[in-house]
Amino acid sequence: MHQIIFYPVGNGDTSQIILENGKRLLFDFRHLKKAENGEIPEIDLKKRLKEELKDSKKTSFDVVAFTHGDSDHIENSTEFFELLHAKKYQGDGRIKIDELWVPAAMILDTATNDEQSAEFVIWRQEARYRLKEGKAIRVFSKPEKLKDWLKENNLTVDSRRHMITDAGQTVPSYTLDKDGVEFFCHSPFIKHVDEGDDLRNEAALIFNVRFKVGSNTFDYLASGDSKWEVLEEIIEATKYHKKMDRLEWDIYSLPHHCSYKTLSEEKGDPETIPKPLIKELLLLGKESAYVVSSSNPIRDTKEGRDQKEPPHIQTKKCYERYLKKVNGAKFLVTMEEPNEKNPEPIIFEIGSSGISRGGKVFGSGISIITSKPSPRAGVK
Amino acid sequence: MINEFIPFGEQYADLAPDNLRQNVSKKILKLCGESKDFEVVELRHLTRNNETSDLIIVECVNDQVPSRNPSGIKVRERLALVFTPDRLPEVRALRSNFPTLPHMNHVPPGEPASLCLYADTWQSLERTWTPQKHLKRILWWLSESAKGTLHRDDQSLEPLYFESPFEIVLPPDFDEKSENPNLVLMPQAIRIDRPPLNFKVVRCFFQDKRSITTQETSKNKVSKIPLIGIPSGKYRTAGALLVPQEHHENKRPSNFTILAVTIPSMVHGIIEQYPRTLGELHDQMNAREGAILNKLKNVIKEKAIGGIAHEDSSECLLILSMQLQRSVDSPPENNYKQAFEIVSDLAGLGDKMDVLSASSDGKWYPIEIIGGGTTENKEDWREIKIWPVDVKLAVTRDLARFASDVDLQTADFKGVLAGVGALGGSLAEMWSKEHWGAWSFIDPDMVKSHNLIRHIAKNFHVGAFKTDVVKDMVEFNYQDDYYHAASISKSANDFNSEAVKDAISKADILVDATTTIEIPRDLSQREDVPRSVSVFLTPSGGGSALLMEPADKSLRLDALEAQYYRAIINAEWGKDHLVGHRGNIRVGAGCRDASAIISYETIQFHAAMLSRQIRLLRDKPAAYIRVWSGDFETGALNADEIHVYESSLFKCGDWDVIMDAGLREKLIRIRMSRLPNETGGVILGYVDQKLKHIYVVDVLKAPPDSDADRTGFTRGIEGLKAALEDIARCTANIVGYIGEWHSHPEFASAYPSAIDRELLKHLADQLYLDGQPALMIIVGASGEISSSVKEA
Repeated sequence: MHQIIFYPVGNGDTSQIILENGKRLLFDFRHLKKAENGEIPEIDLKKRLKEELKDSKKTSFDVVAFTHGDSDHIENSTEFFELLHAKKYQGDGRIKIDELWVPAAMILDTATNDEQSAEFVIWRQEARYRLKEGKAIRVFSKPEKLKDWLKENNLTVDSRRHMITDAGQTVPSYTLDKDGVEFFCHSPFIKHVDEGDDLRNEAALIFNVRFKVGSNTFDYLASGDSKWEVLEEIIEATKYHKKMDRLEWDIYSLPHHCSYKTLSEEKGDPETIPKPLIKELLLLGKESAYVVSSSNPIRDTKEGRDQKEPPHIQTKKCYERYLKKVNGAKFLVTMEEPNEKNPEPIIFEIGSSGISRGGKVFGSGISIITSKPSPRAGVK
Repeated sequence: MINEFIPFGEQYADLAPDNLRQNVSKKILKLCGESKDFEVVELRHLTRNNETSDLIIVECVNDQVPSRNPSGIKVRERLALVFTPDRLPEVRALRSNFPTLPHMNHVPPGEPASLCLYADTWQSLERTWTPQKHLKRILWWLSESAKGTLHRDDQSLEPLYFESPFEIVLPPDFDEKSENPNLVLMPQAIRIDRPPLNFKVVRCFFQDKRSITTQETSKNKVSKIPLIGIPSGKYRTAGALLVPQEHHENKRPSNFTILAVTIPSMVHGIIEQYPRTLGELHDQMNAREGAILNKLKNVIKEKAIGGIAHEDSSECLLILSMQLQRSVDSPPENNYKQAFEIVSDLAGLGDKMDVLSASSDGKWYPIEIIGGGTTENKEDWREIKIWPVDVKLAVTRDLARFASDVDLQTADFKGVLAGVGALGGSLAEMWSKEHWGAWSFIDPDMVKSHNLIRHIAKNFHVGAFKTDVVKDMVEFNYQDDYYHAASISKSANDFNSEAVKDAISKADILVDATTTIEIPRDLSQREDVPRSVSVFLTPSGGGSALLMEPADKSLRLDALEAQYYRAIINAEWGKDHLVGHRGNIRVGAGCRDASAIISYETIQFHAAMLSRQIRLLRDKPAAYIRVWSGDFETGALNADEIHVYESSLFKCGDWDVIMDAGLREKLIRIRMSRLPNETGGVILGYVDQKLKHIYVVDVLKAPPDSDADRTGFTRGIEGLKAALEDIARCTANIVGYIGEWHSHPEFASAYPSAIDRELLKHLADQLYLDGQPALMIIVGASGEISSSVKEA
């Protein structure tokens, strides 16, 4: 049985794939300090991940992938992981990364310092270090700018080709036969990096993760923070290459925290209307499929309808409409499961009988109350 | 991908809650609106057998169902949630190709599949049932069925077809004889024309087909079956019983004429040879100066006044009554009776003794001869054959009591025995043999074939009401029409029944052997219920328990029940007391379960002891909780007496909180031990959703990681989960978390502070997931205790 876990980290992303063979692949990392003392409902991610590793008797992740470098995908990660490029990021219980996955843009990103978080810079240094060393890294896409960078650093493309995966390829180190999983890279395209103004979101990692259990295969569409324009390009390219099966989904983790911009330039009222190609993507959901929005709770209130920042209720309604059309299962919001006050990770279990939610006891109030300290009682 | 749905019920125009007739369906509708797993599609109604049900049509989106499971259950299923007053809620799967799986109910052809969600009866279930739990149960059924794990490996297999309302019971030698070509299987219907007419039981027996005449085919035979079937001429009916008739067939005479003769007292001594003729008897008596001849003649003449006919099938029975003396001088000591069967009818005897003569009307009349008769000369009578017959008096009430060491002073009372299953039936049998009390039996059940293993019922009782069976069985302990019991085939908490109400309100004591949780709780709520005592075996049969109210009824069974659980939680014997329970069934569910391993020996072992305990304790005024643990190896039975505390009831809005003095003392003690700081912990107990009662059983001390200071307390979690699991296990899942308690420091009252009220609200919000109210208890200075209940 394989697992996919989505952690409640607010409007941000952290998910993990745990393969039946025990390999663990973490996608993005957002730890919020206020979660450490329970001030906010978001999960204490560091604590949780350390517990999980301890339970599975591991000290490292097989893969840590950063889909892109926005802070809601890397927040406080440089305090958590062991980095190879500098001694000060080593030891002291830091978690090792056996292989780091980054989009090419993360090596190249040259935006000015005030646009970048300090952490992003640290990760760029780490990725560059690993690529120079030629170990424990995989880079996605091979734009001209990357080739230039390699040349500047006295490296040939050939010497690093086996560490680079282009769009339309699968990651060679994971196969359906050996691991029960393959990672098909939809994005970034070369042109995202070479032509894009904003290197980060448009050049984010997007995968079709295909799982195999017994004779069944299941498709998980893991998208970064891409807008509808990028998604349309992906759909067009996939059509062109006649690989539409790579866009089907049993689980679709939504891009950009359920923002309307992932469907159209208009928010819409009462619902966002998806662009024609996006609509095609939504109709590629399979029976009993799930949609996951890594976001804050989505409320159908005036405030919720008017808010500028994602998540957008109008967009959720659109996704729900299409989910129903394909006889899908549920639209899940990471910060709403099982409730807004005490959200818990959403765990999907992928077994020979299909996909189901794991780790969920049929929510008993008693088990919630007695699993946490009570609120303070007393005269004051 | 388009699903077809089976139409079921009539649709309402909209989703307005007011369409629904029942509160429970309105609650479910509201919950479905809030739930992530249920989407309301339509509201409908359905009328069946003059009962109208509310139907809520939902799409159940169950993320616990694997998306491509082999059982064929879909993540998204359309269901009808059906609610009918006083019936188990139904759940119908409307998809026309919904798979056929284990744990489904029988439905008429064409109707949507019905999920079998509960093993309990509604009467038992409604105590803990909440709409929230119902929805979870539906999700659980679907996901477990989808994974193929609903039916545990250690459960016996489901039958090939649905359970039918009709039952055929095959003879025990079926395998052996079924291939014998000369034998046919004959049905024997037992129909009980009294409600509830739930099912029909057909018992079968083998009969040699050569003995069946051509006109009497098996079909004809079935149609001729009487109300209580008789397989052949070998049985007769007696009440609801079939008893063998053989000994009657062997008796030649159909009746006896009794001739009673009293003779003067005799000195005991030589034991005589039995006489073979009337002449020999006469001679023996004469030798002992006990002449009987003239007395007998007079008796015959008296009997024949008005004329008697000659009857071939009749005989006479001569009963001689006498008193025996030790010696000629000593007073008579024993009354003694001896009888002789005289092989002649009265007319023949009178003729031979020359005291009756035939008249022209064919009858015989006494001969009146003045100055004696010719008897001395006529000696025919001497050769009349006689057979000696021992005479014993039938058991009387006094004899039964005396021989059983029953206190005669307190043995006359009216009792109600609720529940005459394995234990109740045995108690009834014992008390009838002791002639202790006059009993009414109340029980709605019928005897099923598997009951015979542990019940006093016999094979031919299968299909009869248990109360009728037990009534007959105990009445058969005495001569016909001597001992009387009443049979009421109803549930003891069915107060709509006049018979039940009448029997209970007129009784001096009520013994609850129903092995239910709900009946004693319901009885506890009524003033007209007499002092009551509850007895039951533990699920393994290893132990038993007795809960007895005091004579003044100041404590009722429901309050005793809570104290009994506290004893289980805290006592050494409690760890394994209820071991072997199935779910939330505390008591002898084993007895209702055909596969349980509890022998008749075990039932009798405990029944005998409990019977005596009830008898002895009834004569004392106090309340009792006693628990016994038996050792099957050595036969030892260990008794534990549990101290009984006064109990009080706090009214908190719609809810009543029941708590006893023992627990109040404990709370005060813990508070004192932690001063000047506050302290607190978890409250243990259970909720009766029907009575709206919260029973407080016990409290736990603060977990070690709790945070306490002089003005506040935050309860930690260390060890809490394990403790709660342990308590659930040893109380058959009845006792669990019901809220939080804490203490207030010196000089502070038990009145809830602002943060206390926030805590209570927090608890209520969380417990809403279970449909349960939240309880908060505060112990203040000078032992003041407050309790607050809140529902979200």
